[in-house]
Amino acid sequence: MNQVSLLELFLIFFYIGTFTIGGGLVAISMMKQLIVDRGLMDAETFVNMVAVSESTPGPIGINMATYIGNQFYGIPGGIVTTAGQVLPSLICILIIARLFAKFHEKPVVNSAFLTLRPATAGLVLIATLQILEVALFNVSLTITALSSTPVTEIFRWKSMIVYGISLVLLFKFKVHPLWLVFTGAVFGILFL
Amino acid sequence: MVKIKTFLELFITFFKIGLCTFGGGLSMLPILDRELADNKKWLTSEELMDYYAIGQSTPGIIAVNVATFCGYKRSGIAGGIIATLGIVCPSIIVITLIAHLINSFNEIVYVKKALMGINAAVAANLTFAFFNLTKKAVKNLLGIVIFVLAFVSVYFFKVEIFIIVLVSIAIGVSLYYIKKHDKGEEK
Repeated sequence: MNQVSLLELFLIFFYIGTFTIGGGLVAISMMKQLIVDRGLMDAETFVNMVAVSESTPGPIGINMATYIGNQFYGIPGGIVTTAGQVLPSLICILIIARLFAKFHEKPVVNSAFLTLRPATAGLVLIATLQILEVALFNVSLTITALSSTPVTEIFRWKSMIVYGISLVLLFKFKVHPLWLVFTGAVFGILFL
Repeated sequence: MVKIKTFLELFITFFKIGLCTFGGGLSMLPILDRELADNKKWLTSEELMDYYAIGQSTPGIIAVNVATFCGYKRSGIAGGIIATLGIVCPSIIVITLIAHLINSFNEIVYVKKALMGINAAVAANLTFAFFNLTKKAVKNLLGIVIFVLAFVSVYFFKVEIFIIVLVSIAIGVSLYYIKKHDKGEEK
């Protein structure tokens, strides 16, 4: 399986880390191009790895980087690929953060961020809708057989109840979001 | 000594957040808002939004970019590096374990069940964070217009996010110079 050296792996992920804009999902499509399409790994293994990466703790892009490195060179491989993935953005953000700290009091920069924040709110709404879709609806059903399936199967009733209770706990009782993630996991294993 | 304590707290905080993040970087926004802005007061919700806007339009994983940013804000370059290590470490540990323990992918059925519950909780967290942040971010008519335009163009027309970010910044900058120019003429 090791037709690729550790140094090459590092360079591949450094390249991905440098040229992905838009986060983990963009990074994964680049990983597919550079790892699967070049014959270093078969497509099925890759798809399974994506499934594991999205359902285990940690940002999905980092999980994938670690996982791929692990497949080739064990623990050192995982560390090398993750380092490669993270280093470019670490350097880039440290520079930007420095500039940000220096200039964000300037009125012109302040004015720019005042108009940027509503746009960011719009993007947060999109992320919210996307997760709502996955969490509360049987998306595959709604696409393939909307007319013939009973409505009851399109909605994930139990998940909707979890969602509703969580909302009440957040808005009324200011429960910490971490607790909800934890109880959500336990509830999922027991009842979903 | 004080520095080491700050670094340790920073590492543990982001390690914890990394351990509770599932999927994309935005799913950790509610936790960051509560933990860093409300509880620890290391930054404001508005700053957090700015970090997300920048993190989405610069190279790299969004979660990592925002972690680096928050760490820098807390204690400079070393802080940025430590927060990044903190957010990345849970992935390295968990995935390494999984890579060595799981022989067949069918064994992850419980993980998938857990994920369904987690998704419902994350959906609620994000809904809450969305209302919270929008209250702070959208303050006038122009804000509402930009909010709606950004939402519609990305959600329905799949416009690239960094374009939205650039255009919004351009509007803010031009507005500043227009106002400045107007004031200049009054004098």
